[in-house]
Amino acid sequence: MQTGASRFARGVSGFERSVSHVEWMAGGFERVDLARQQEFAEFVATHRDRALRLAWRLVGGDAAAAEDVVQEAFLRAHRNLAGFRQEAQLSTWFHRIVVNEARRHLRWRWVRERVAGEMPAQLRDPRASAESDPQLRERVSAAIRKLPRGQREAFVLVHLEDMTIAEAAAVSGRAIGTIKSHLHRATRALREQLADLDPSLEKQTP
Amino acid sequence: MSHSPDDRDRLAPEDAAFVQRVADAYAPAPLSPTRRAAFDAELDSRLARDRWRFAPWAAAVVVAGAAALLVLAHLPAAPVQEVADTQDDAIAEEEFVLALADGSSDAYEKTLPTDYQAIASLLDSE
Repeated sequence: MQTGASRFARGVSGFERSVSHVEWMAGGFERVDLARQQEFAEFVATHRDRALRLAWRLVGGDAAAAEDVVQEAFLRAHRNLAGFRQEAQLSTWFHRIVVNEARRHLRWRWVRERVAGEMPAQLRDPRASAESDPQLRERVSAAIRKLPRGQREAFVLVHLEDMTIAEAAAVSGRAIGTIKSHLHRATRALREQLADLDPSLEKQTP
Repeated sequence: MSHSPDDRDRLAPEDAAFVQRVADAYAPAPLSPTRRAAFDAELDSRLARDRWRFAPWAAAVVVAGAAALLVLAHLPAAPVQEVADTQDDAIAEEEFVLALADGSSDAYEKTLPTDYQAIASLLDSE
């Protein structure tokens, strides 16, 4: 028969075992969390620069807006990375998030400018490519901003970001045929607006 | 990035030259190390805030707290009733003691078990 003291001793040792088990589990969670954070830091380092360039081009050359768009895209990716099912390439999945965030940003900018009467943002970016002529860059930015959204996205994704048509379709959530049609129209519209950049017209000029 | 020619939008040579000029003119400068560090620091702080906001245990604490409040709100007012009962008992006991003291009551016999009461009644009858 167990004495009260031995039962108590057993209870205490069982409690200690439970506590050490909980501590071990907590340590495990911390290790998993740390591994996940390191994995995500690598993901950020791999995709950051390209995502910033893509966002900069999609929002019309606004560096601050592009950074905000990409930060928000990384936050969304962090929340949903566990649910990523390898059905698409990770980069395609992430670029789709960036495109969606850029759309969201442009919608809000439109609302602020039209409804709240806010002045359109000055998009002169002091950090823009040093090689490009600022006036030319501003003209090209203005011409690209004038394009309808679908045409602008298709032109940026395929011609400026070097994606295939299939990738651009997956990233923008549009059909391949639609992307081709948008590309054709966008190129034609830009050639009309930026005729001086057209090498074939330059040759004709005396 | 390398793709098969079928994947690409095939541009006419003059279109390709035009697109290249647009691409050159419409590009951000590469991120400087300072800007990159600032971007990463900002992202880290936003992720930390986001982790706190979406922590499952924080949600569990909120749900548990709400459940506890609900349970407390629907509990009957038992403690108040208990005080009242205790007060009634004290008054009854006091009356009983007073009745015993002045011999005006047979309350003492009423508190006895039934068989003792029967014996007491037999003795009284004798």
